[in-house]
Formats: sequence, C-alpha cells, structure tokens
Amino acid sequence: MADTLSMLNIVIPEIIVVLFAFLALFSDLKGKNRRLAGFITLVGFILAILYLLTLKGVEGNLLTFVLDSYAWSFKMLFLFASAIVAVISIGYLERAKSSVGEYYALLMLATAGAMFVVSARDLITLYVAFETASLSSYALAAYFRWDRRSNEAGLKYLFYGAFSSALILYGLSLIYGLTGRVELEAISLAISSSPVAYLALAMLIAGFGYKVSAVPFHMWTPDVYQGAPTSVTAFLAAVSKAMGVAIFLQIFVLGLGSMIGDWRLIIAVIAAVTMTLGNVVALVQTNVKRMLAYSSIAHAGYALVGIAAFNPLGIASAIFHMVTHALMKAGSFAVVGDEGESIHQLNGLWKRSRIAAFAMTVFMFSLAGFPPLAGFWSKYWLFWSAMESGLWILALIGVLNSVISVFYYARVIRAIYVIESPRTLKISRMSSAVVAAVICMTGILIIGVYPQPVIATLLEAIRAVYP
Amino acid sequence: MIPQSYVLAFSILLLSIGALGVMTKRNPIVMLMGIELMLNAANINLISFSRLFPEGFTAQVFALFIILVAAAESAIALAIVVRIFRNHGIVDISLFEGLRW
Repeated sequence: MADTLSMLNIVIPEIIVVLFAFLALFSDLKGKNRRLAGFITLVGFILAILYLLTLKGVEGNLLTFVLDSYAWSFKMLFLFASAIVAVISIGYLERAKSSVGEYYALLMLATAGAMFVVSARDLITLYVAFETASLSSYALAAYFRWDRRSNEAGLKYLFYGAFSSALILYGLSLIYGLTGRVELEAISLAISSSPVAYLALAMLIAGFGYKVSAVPFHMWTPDVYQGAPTSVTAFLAAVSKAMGVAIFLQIFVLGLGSMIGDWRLIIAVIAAVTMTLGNVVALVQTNVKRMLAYSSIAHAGYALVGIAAFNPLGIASAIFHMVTHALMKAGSFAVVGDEGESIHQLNGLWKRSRIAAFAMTVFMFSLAGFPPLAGFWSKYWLFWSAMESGLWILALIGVLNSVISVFYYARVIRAIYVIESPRTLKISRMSSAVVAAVICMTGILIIGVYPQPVIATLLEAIRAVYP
Repeated sequence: MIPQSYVLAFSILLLSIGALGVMTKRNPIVMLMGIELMLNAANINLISFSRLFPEGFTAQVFALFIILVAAAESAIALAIVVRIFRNHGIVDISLFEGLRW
C-alpha cells in the first residue's frame, strides 16, 4: 500500500484538471464572471502541463493507471490542445446566453477523461475513461441549448457515440470470453484467431471506426462538427479525434497486435476509402466547418495508414499526425469561429485582419501538406512507413488524395485574398481566437522547420505499446 | 447449467434487436431503449463468461460499470431531448433537417 501511494504523483496532472473543473464550475454560477471561468480553466491546464513536464521520463503505475512515455506524449497533446480550446472559448462564449461555468467544467472533465484513456492498460479502465470523455463531449456539443442545430448535433453525436460504445462493449465482452483477461498485454498473449475472435474484431473495428470517424462509419462527423459551437468543434477535432486514434493504438496494436494478419487488410482498405471519400466530398462544401469536418475524416484516414503499416515509424507518425492535426484544426476553427462558418464570410479577410488571414493560410497549406510546414512531415512519414511495410498502393492513394485536397483548401485561400467583400472594417482588437490561431501557427511553423525532436520523442514513446 | 452457446445466441439476438430499434425508430426515447438493449447484451455476455473464469470478479465489476455509465448516458440523452422538446414542441428525429450534406 505504501508502495502504491508513493506513485501517487503520476496522477497529479489529472487531479489538477479535475479540481480546476469544479473551480471553474462554481466560479460562474450567475453568468457574470464569464472570463474568470475561462481564465481559471486556462490556469488549470497550464499548471497541469507544468507538472506533467516534471514527470517526463517517469515510468510507473498506480493500480491500473500507467504512466509511460506513450501516455506522457498523448497527455501533453491533450492538455496543450485543450488549453488552446479554452483560449478560443473565452472569446467565443461571449455570445452564450447563460452562465458558462459548466461549459469549462465539461471541457476539463473531457480532457481528464482523455488523459485517463491513454494511461489505461486494461479494458475496464479504458471503457470508463473514454466514456467520461465522450459523455462530456456530448453535453458540450449540445451546449448552446437555445440553438436547434446545437441540440441536433448533441443528440446525433450521443446516439452515434452510444451505438458505437455498445458495439465496442459487445466486442470487448467476447474478447473477455475468449481470454478471461482484461489486461491488454495479457489479451495479446492469449488471443488467437477463431470465428468468435473475428466477430469481436468486426465489432471493435465498427465501434472504433465510429469514434475516429472512418468511412463507412463517418456519417455523424459533418453534422456534429457543423452544429456544435465552433469552440467545441475545435475540441472534437483536436482532442476527441486524437483520443480515438489513441484507443485504436491501444486496442489494436497493444491488445490485438498478435492478430495483425487478420485486421491489417481491413484497416488498410478503410484507410484508403476514408481518405478518398473525405477529400472528394469536401470539394463541394460551401460551409467551412463542414468542409473542415470532411477534411478531418480524410485526416483520420491518413492516421489509419500509419496503423495499417504497423511498424515503429508508422505508429509514431500516426501520433505525430494527431499532434499536427490538432494544431491545424484548432487554429482554423478558431478563425472560423471568429469570422463565420460560410465560406463567403471569409471573403476579404486579408483586408480585415492580416494576422488571422496569414494564420489561416498557414493552416490551409499545412493541411494540404506543403513542404516547410508540419502537415507535410506527418504525411511524408505516414506514406513512407506504408511503403516500408510494402503497402505501396495505400501510399499512392494517400499521395493522390493530398493532391485532391489542395483544391478545396485553395478555395479558402482564394476567398481570403482574392474575393472582395463589402465588410472592410478592420479588426483592431486582438480577439482570443486570433491569439489561439497565432499559437497554433507558431507551433506548425516550429514543427515544420524542426520536426526531428518531436518524431524522435514519439519513436521513443511508442516502445511502450509496440510489441 | 445453460450451455454457453445458448447464452451467446441470446445476447446476439438482443444486440440485433437493439441495433434494429436504434436504426429504424424515429423517437429518441425508443432509440435510447434500443441502446440499453445493446448494452445489456454485452452485460449478459460478461456475466455468463464469468462462470468460465471463476477466479476474481472482473466481469461482474465490468458489468456494473457498464450499467453505471449507461445510466449517465441516458441522463444526458434525456436532458438533450427535453431541450429539443422545448425548442421544437415535438420530439422526432425526422425533424432534423437543419444539417444536410
């Protein structure tokens, strides 16, 4: 018992986040201290990041809660992305018609849930942790309760999420029945191919396919991304998607890695279809939130390429891709939340706000994968890892998709610079969304110029999950 | 003792009925009932499998957690349904046409 308590420090970042969640909840009971609640949230995230920095390289476990370099990397991503979302929310929630304490509380609880997910190495902890994160995000998506579209987004997200959870649970119960174990590493040793294992695998691929919005389980993504408040959309794209990929890695690589021969082809096909459909449907969108939602689907496909490759570089670059994707999507949703979600509302942004226009340009070029930016490196390593594993066709489809995607990202850039707009009023004040966009842009530029330390850290980190 | 295969067949049936309910019904409350059936299919599986592995209470604890989370899920779903009822005056999934393509 004393031994257990001595490892209590590894769970302190989560404790900080949960404590500040309640602090934020009670700081704004009457809707008069909106900014205060936002700043409390931000302080909570920053404290958690600082404490997590002191835990770098620490390995240990507290009962079923494990901290290793893999969990550390993902937690850093979640905390950083959520802090950016908190910055966006401070400005975005000015339009809220009620108190915002519960919004920030839910945001922090969702982040805490995601942090527990990456520390979970057994099925029960994993399930409870990802439901903590999911349930908070359902409520967040429906947060603008006076807005019909937000209601609709929340309910759709909840039903698709609950449906997929039920499928996942059925699959997990079958895995328990086959192996008698709930620890992921014990499962990977005990499981072998059998008809029941295939049924479980099908259930898990469908269920987790919903969570990362892989085709054909992607239908909810555009609706939810469009209907949810834009700050929540940024959270869903940055944190929830990364959490989905993390669960994918833990279940399929760590837990079912020994059945690689059975699931690799399925994941490869899903990855190819997801990339293609996401990019092609994004071409015809006129709503930027919806377009970015389809782009998010396509990017889930890119991450699955790394998992299908199933080599150290592939898995590390899938995580790397989630890092860059979080920065790019959080930043672009920040700008979209400030300017408006129809592509016409971005017209002439260059005249109104030079910083926002430049940041948006960087995000679009990075999403399309232009060389000196972070988005290029994640795609480069993902496709390289696919070729290393002999998945030439998959890498080729990925490259072709990158070319297709340039067209719709270019439309946004054209709206910003070329098309004139009657709205020429210059935005003089530095809105919180612009601050968030600048932080994301800086991150993308730094990672783009100097990506080696990040990928080296991740290559080190995935030793914890890669068999 | 009931053979394991019977339990498995029963739970698959329950899962399918629940999934069918979620996919075909238009009323969110009935859809929620479908979700509950699907979750209970997993619970039945876990409890029946726990007979095969008598040491420890892992499966029972898992099932308890599932029941717990399902309750929280229903609470959030019903809260959203109440908001939809206040905004639309009626609760029906086919109302949802605000978000297309």
